[in-house]
Amino acid sequence: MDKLSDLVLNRTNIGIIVVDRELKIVYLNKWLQDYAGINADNIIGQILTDIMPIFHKSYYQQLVANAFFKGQSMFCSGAIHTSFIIPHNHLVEATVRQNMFIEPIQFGQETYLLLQIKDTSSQHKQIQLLKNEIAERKRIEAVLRASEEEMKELRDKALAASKAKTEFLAIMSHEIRTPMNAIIGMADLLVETPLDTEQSEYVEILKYSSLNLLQTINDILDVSKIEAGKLETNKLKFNLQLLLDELVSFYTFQAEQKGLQFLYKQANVPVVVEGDSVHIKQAISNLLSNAIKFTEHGHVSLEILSTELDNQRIKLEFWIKDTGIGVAKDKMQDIFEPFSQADSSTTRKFGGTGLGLAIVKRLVESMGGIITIENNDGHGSIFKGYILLDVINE
Amino acid sequence: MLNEQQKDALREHMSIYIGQAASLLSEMVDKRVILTIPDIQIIDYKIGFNQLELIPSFLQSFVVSSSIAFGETFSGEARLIFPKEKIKELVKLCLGEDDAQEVTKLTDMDFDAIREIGNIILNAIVGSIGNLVEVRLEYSIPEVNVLYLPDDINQVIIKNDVYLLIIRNSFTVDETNIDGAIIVVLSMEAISELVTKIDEVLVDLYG
Repeated sequence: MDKLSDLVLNRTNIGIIVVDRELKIVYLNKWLQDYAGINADNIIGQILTDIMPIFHKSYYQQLVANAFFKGQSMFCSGAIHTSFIIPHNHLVEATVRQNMFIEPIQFGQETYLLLQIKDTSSQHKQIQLLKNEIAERKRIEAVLRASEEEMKELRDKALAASKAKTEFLAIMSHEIRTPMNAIIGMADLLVETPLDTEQSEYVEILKYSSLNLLQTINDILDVSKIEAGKLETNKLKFNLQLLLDELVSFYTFQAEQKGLQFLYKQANVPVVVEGDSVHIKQAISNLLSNAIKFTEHGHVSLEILSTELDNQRIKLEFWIKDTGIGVAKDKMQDIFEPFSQADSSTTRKFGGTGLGLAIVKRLVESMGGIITIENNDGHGSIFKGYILLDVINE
Repeated sequence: MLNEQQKDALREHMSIYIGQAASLLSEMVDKRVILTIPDIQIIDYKIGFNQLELIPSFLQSFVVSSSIAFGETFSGEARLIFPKEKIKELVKLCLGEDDAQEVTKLTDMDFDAIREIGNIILNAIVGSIGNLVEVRLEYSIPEVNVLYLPDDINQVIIKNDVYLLIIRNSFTVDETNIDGAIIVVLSMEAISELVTKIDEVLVDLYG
């Protein structure tokens, strides 16, 4: 073999072996010598199976026969056969992959077999990495799915518990309200009978306490209805001016009874609108009675401003200001939540369940509005908000 | 081009070789492999030939082809084609890999496996032709390509005025069957020699 081709063959990154018809090794390039840790001087003239025992197998014997007798070339992949010759420096043989070409070559009168061996272990390694990645991704997906299901289960349980609580409250309130009405009715009848001063006083206390308790129960019933999604809104035509006038005269009287001033201002309020008058009355009453309840000195005011949104709707804004005890900044967040008063000492002093504002908030929201609270310059509170109402164009 | 009798004779002759390829494949993958050739056609391929007629409908899409060139005096090219979406299944069947961590993309290892499987089948087909025309052929190393048929037909048939031997091929490993086709491109001289030899076989058989 001439020197240049010898040099080239020894530089290629591929293993080359040539054997004759008796499978005697006639050539082995340097790459393969280094790769398999063998020396050509010791191996030339030996039989192929000495360094590649795989050729003992009948499958490869058939390939050899096909090559010599039929001239057939054959490609053998590492994907199927793994490897053909053992590399001397590989610690883990399982990760070795090789491809091999078997090709008959004619040289003079002789036919030889050319074997080319290429190491493809890195290809195999890449695929293993890819498989590991996929397995890891699938594992994470399974964990995520499991925790998602767990979350859903917990949420369902919490919802069911909340629903049960609301239903319980609704049923209990209803059951208590019926005998409460009887107690109040009986107290009314008792007042009409001849009583001495002491007895009259006792009946008055009985009636006052019963009415208070009834109010509390009604509040609970309202909240539970709202939470159960059973709050019904009735849209009817009504006289808004009349409703406001009634509220103003009632609460002016209430304020004056307590020695407070009641201020009222309104602008642009239409006479007839369409909406739920009961809800509007309940919301504003709640806010005004709260304002009067928590104010010892000074005044309580109500301001109403109506703005036309379009031909069909108006935005009814309201401000209820007082000069009472006010609400601490850190409590403002929770004030519209059920059963939350600014602190428990307030409850002891002023009474009430802390349901009023929660009901107001839900009523206002049911009418497409919002309600917020802010401090009245350190002298009480301002509740401001709006609701949406339909206008009647007659 | 071929009458029924000639077709049967060629099919029978090729079946012996394809049977040997199957047993070689069985030994290689250590599984029961059955190869059959349910149909053979010879087509005179000229300009304007309807390519849709040429390619079976299940191969009118992305395909993976393994091809070898053969011969000097009697020359041609043989190509084994499988639908691309079946390749992963075919390789998996042969290697017996579990599909728990399935890599859906075709990898170089998959192409190598298909190149070897194609090599065995194509050697058998070309070997049977060589045996029939009594010529010792030389075989090139197989090449693997992904093609879109029939648009890429020009990569399969590079010359006009050739004859195509289209062999339907059914590949069964264990109980699963995958269909493919083998297209052998032959010159006019080669095909007439082949037909002459088929007739000689028929004379030997039936007198």
